[in-house]
Amino acid sequence: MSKDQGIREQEIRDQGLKHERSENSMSQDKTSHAKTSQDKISQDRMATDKTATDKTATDGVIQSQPAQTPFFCLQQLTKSFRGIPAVQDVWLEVKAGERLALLGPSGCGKSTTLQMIAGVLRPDAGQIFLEGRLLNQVQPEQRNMALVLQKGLLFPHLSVGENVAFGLKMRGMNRTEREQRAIAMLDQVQLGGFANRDPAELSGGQAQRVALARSLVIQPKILLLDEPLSALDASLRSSMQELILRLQEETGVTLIVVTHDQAEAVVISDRIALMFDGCLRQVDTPERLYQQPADEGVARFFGGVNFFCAEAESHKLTLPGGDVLTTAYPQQGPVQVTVRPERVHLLADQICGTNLLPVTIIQNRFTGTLRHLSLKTAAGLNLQSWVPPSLNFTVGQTAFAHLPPDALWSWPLPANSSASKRATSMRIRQKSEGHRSTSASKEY
Amino acid sequence: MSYTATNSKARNTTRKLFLWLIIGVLFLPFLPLLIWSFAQDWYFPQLVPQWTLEHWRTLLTASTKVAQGFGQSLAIALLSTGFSLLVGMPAGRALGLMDFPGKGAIKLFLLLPIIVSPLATLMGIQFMLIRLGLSGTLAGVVLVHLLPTIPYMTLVLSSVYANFDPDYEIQARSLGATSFQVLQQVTLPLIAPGVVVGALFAFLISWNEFLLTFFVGSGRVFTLPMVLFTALQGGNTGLTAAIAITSILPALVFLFFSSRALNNDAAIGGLGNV
Repeated sequence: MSKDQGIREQEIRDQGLKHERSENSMSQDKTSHAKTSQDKISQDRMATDKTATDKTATDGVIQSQPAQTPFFCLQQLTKSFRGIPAVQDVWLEVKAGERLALLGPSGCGKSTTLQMIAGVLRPDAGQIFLEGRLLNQVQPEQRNMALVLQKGLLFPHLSVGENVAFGLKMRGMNRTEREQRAIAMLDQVQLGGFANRDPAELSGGQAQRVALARSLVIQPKILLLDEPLSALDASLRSSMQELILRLQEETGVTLIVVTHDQAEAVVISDRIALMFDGCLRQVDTPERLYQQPADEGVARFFGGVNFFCAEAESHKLTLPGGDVLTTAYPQQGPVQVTVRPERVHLLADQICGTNLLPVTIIQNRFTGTLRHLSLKTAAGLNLQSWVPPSLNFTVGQTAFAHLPPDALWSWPLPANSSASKRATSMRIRQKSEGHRSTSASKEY
Repeated sequence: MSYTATNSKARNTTRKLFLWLIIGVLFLPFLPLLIWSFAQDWYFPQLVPQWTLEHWRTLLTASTKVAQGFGQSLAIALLSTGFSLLVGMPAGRALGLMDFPGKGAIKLFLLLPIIVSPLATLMGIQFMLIRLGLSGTLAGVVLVHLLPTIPYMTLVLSSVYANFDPDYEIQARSLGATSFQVLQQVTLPLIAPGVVVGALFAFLISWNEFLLTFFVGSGRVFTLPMVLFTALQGGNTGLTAAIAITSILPALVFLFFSSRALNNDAAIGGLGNV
C-alpha cells in the first residue's frame, strides 16, 4: 500500500517536472525576446563573474547558486594555430543527459573544440566549466570525460576485455571487479564472449563498439565522440547510431558528438551546434535547423535549395510570382525567403486561395524515395519541390505550388556586401526584438 | 580448406628451409672455432683432432683475464645501452613525432659519428678526457662508447616513434591514465619491439668496440675484445678460439630472448631508417 503510494507520488512528481519542463520550453519559444536578453544578461554576469572565477581558480569551484550553474558550458572558447584562427569565441551550454552534435564541414574547428573539451588541447582564451568547476587547468584524466576517436584505437597489446577494463585499472580497481564490469559492459554492446579476443581479430564495427564500451565503463560525466562512425560503411552506421542512442538512454550519459554528416547529427542529437570557419552559426534542435535556419549558409548546409528575394510587410511576403503569407515573425523591407523543397506541395487544380503560385514543371527527377521536381513561375521564379513518387507530373504541365505559411522562413536581406556587416548587426537587433529563438548565445 | 592448409604447410617448410640456410651460412664459420677450442693440436694430416678441455679450463683461470674482461665489457655495454636509451627515447620521439625547423640537419648531425671514422676524432677526445681525468677510467670508456651508440639508438627509435600513433596516448589519458601510467601501460608496451632492437644495436656496438676502448682505456680498462687481441698475439689458437666463442655468447643470449620481439613489424620498421 505504502509502496503504491510512493510510486504514485513519484509519478505526480514526474508529471509536475514534465509540466514544468514543457512550460519552460513554451516560454522559451514564445518570448525569445526575454530569453535573448536573459542570455545577454547571463553573459554580462559571466563577464563580471570572471574576476571572481579567476580568484577561485585555484580550488576550481565557483561560488554561485547551483540553480544557475549549467551542467557544462564553454565560454568564449578561442584557439588558433600559428596565427590561423581555428575556433573563435565559442559559447555553448549543455544540459545534463543531453545529446549535442557539433556539426560542420571538415576544418571548421569542431574537432579542435572537442579536443579542448577533452583537455588534449589548451585553449588560447575562454573557459570550460563542468558542473560549475573550471576545467582549464584540469588534466585530461581528471575531467571525468571519455573520448572515442574515429579509429577506435584499441590498445593492440591488450585483449578486448583488458581494453575495456583499462580505465578501471588506471583507477586502481582490483582485478576481479574490473573484469566483471568489463564483461558486463561487453554484454551491453552485444559483444559478450569477446573478452579474450585479440583486438586485431575484430571488424571495424566491433572495434568501435569495444571502444564505446571502454569509454562507458568508467561512467564518464560526458562522452565525447569524434566522428565515431565515419570509418564505417552505411549499413553498419545506422545500427551503430541505434546502439549509441540506446546506450545513451540506458546510461543517461551526456553526449557530445562531432560529425560532418548532417544526417547523422540529426538522428543522433537533441540539439545541433553548427560551426562554420571556427564560429558557431546556430545552436538549435534539428527541426529548427531544417525549418528555421539562421541564414542562407545554414539552410544550404542542411540541403536547402529554394532561396528567393522578397519584399516583406509584416506577415505578407511579396514574391516575383505573387503574394504569400507566413506565420514566421513579422518583418519589413527586403528579405530572403526559403522553403524546404519537401514542404512545397504541388496541386493539379487550384483548391484554396492563399499561398498558391501557378507554376510550370520544367524537370522531373525520380530519386527512388522521392520525385524531385523543378518548377518555374510565370515571373521567372525557380522552385524545387520534392513530392512522393506516386504523384506524377509531366514536364511542361502547369500546376499550383502550395507554400504552407508555416513552411516559409525569411531573414532580412543585406542590401549589398559592403553594408552586410551593418545588416548583420541589424539582424541581431531584429532577432532579439522579433519572435524567434535560436539558443546560440553568440552566433555571429 | 584443405588446399589452404597444404599451401600454408608448404610455405612453412620453405620458411624453415630458408631459416636453416641462413643459420648455416652465419654459423658455419664458427665451426672451426668450436673445434679448435676443444682440440689439443689440429694440424694437416690429422683428420680428427685430439679432444681436450684444457683451453676452456685455462680460460677460467685469472691469468687470462677473461673473467675480468667479460665483467668489464658487460658493465660498459649495459651502461652505454642504458644511457643511450635515456637520451635516445626523448630524442627519437622528437624526431619521429614532431615537426620542427632543422630536423633534417639534426638527423645528419646524428649520422656524423657513423660517417666520420673515430680515428679522426680520437686524438682530440683523448686530450679532453685526460684533462678531465677520465682517461683510463670506466666512466671515460662508457662516455666514448656513447659516441656511436646514441646516434644508432636515436635513429632506430625515431622510426619506431614515426610508426607510433600518438592518439593512443590521448585515448589513454581520456580514459583516466596519468602521464606516467600512459608511458608505462601504453607507450612503452607499444614501442617495446623497437626499443629492443635499439638496445640490441647499442649493446653489440659497445660490446665489440675495440679502438675507442683501447685508446681511452689506456690499458687500464680491459674489455673482452682486448683480451681476445692479446690472445691473438700470443698465438695460442685453442685459447683464442675459446675466447672468441665466449665473446659471441652474450649476443646470442640477447638475440634468443629478443627473438619474440624481433618477430614483429614494429621492430623491422625500426631497422628501416638505419
